[in-house]
Amino acid sequence: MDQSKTRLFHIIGNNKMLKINDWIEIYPEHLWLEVSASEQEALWRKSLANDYSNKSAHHRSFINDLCLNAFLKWLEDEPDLQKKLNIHKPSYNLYQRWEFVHGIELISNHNRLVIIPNEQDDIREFRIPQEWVDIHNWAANYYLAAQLNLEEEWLRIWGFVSYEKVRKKAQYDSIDRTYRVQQSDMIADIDIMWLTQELCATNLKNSALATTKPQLEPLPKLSEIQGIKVIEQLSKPTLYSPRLDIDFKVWGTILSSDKYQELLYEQRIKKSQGYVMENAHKIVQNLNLWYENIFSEGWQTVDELLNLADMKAFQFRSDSVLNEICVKGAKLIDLGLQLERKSVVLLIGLSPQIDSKVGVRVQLYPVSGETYLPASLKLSLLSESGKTIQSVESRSYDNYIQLRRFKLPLGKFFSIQVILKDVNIIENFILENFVCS
Amino acid sequence: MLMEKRKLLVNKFSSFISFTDNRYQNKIQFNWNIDCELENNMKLKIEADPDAKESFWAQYFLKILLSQSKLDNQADIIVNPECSFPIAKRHLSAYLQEACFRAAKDIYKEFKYIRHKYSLEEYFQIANIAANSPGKFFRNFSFDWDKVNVESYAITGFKRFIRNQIYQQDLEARRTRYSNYGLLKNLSPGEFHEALVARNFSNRQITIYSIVWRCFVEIFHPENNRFTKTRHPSEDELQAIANYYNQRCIQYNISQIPASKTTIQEILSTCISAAKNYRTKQYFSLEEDYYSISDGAPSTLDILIKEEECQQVREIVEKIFTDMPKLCQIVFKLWQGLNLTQTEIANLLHLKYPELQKQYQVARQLKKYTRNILKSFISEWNETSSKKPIDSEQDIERVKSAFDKCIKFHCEQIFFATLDRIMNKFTNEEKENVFNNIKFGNVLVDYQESKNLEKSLNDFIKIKLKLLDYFQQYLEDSMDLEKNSLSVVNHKILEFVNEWIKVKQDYFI
Repeated sequence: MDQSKTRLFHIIGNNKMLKINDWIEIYPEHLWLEVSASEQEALWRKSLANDYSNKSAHHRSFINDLCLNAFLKWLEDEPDLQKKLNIHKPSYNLYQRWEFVHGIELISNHNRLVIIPNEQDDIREFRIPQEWVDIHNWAANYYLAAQLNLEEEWLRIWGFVSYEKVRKKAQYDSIDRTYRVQQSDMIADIDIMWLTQELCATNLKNSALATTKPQLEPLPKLSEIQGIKVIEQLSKPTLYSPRLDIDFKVWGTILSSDKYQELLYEQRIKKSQGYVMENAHKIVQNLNLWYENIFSEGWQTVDELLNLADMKAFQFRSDSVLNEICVKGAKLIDLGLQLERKSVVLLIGLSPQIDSKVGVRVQLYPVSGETYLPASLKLSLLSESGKTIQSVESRSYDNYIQLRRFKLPLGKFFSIQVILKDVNIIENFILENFVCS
Repeated sequence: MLMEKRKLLVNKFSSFISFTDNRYQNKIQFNWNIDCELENNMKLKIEADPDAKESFWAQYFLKILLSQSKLDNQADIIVNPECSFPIAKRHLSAYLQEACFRAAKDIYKEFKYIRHKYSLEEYFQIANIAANSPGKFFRNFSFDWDKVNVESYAITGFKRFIRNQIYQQDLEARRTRYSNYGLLKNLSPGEFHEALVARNFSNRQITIYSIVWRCFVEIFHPENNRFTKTRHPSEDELQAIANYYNQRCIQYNISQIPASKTTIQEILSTCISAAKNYRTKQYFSLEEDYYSISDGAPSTLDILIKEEECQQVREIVEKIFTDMPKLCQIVFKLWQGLNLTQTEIANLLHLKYPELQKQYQVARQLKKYTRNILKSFISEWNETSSKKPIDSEQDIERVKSAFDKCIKFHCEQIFFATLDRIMNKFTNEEKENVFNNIKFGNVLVDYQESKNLEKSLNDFIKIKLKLLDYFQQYLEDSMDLEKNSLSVVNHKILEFVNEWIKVKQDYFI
């Protein structure tokens, strides 16, 4: 027995590092996807432009977004599969979740899938953050393990495991609140998951999970005051996710509510921006990314927002007012998260000028079927140092308000401020260079 | 390379494979070595119970082993009066030698693209490590399963073990590509734990180090999207890690003097050296938790597919395969029939099929086709076979490995049949020459004989070249490939033809 070990010692002496193409051949049952350097670059910039409270979350969002992007691109190449599964466009709060935890939730016809990406080489174990298992509206039917290698520019889905199997086989690690599943308890080929759904209908019907949500220990209920208090505690700026800072049950309760989750997210961002600014950094929207159709968190093309908002009211105005403009972006702005929800749409349009400056048009509209803006809503342009340059305030029956068009040289920071009563929202921008087709 | 199976029951439980370098033929030979102690013991056992069959003895030793493993956990050692634990373990290891060899051979065949890096005997040795710790390996084995066969359970498991070991070994080779902190970030929690265990750390130390390490992993990130070799934690980051760690210690009620950034730096340095050692460990190990098959045991379904229903499976596969799109058939024939790599397939087909430019695309296409074929197969199976429907992801997983083999077999058969047809155009004399000559390589001959041989060898080479030529032409025509496009892979075609000759030769004699 020891003999075999000594012999092996010699064998490993030779350097036999395999290449990525060898591995693709050796593991044909894994799903191998390419993640090119330019894609990485673009998504990295996108993650920087998104609002996250710390570097850790930015990195997390980058890794998850890369994975999501590659997966959706692959799905485009598989129209038959997509037709059957009908995987929905990921929800908006996916991006918020990356402030706190790894994982990409995708919802198909009957199932909820969660992809957990990882950059580690070792695939003998798969770790699922507890949130995805123990929070009832986060729990998935299947968990997919993704391994990402940025340097070699690839990603592979190397296995999946069902919720029941996680419950049965996984070991809980209290240090990082994860469920650890061994590779031998997983199925390597995700095609088996699709095929099971398609062909084993009788079996799935018998399994309680396919039709109903997993039975979980209920999380405690928090009163509004308790909730706000916990959020206050968790929103102090940190360089890491607050997920381990309090008892899991309370943490789970916060995340299980969209309202609380969003509030915590917003609070963390708001406080960290103050925090970050002290460190002489600033989170800004880089407007030239818009030109490449890269919109950061919350921002959309006007067309996308038009679908969401009241079509008729919008189209007319955007056509007549913004038609000289070649790049536009829009963002839904929430005014007041805790009380009555009021949203407005902030629209920014850019047009190049001959003197290598950029013309900027800023408008504010009511949203979703509303005809008028709330009264006394103040829209202002601030300089880099925070001085108000110009502002406008809505009256009782304004359909929209706008700032006077202004011109800016490239590379100049500016901010747009929206104030309603005690809500004060500031969006920061920079335009580094600008090419208009 | 050829190895005889053991025939005597005594030998099956008392002999081991060994290899020797045969300098004359420049290859490695496998032999059976008998262990006298095991042989005597086995003889006595068979005398006492002459009717017991092979499968009985395999289960008998395994039972002793598994009951002993359970006792180990309770730290309560009882000596089995009939057969001691170490002896049972060796008997079972001996029994599993053929399974090791089979697994190694399968893997060698499947991993054709890395033959220049891994030999059959290396695969065998890796499998043998698992066979030498059967207690761990069979940890999840259950005697309740229907028709369970110890050997086929072992083969499946050994194959998985070999593949994972190659992957692990590769990680070790890759170690040098990471900077110190890059390596620390790349460890999985499992590896980290093992690295500290290997350093004989106490449980308490392991917990403390694990917390520090996880705080580090959470806070330390590349400046940009990727790590640079020179990136290491700044003073501020070390302080942040220290603060986070101290806070977590309070949370876990670990009474510890609050760590400073210097302490954190020291702990991380220790972790780095443990990590480096871990990823350089120069031997394979059978980790307790990994690699044992959990419930991937052969089921009734497996056995149905592998044995009794084999003909039915083949018929279904054949039918489905002919119904697949032409490109699918071509790609599969090249991949599974001729053993081309995905890169070779891309090079061959990319001009005509622009969707197959790169290896990635070929790999994905193959996966998609496999899914479609498998799907048709399952539907067909469930319609025609009432015995046991395929009805869960476990079922599909089990069927798939049997099914993959069937597809390969089918693709090879198609070309074997082609070669048969081509050979029919040759004269009887020519045929005989081809099938007999292959053997001469293995036999030493005297001078006169070798003179005769020379002529016949010359003829042989000529005939073989002709055969190869016809075969290549046929392949190109039948798969709509450009003329001579297969010349770049003629070594693969030669390999295939040799394989066919080997099969035929047995038949011819």
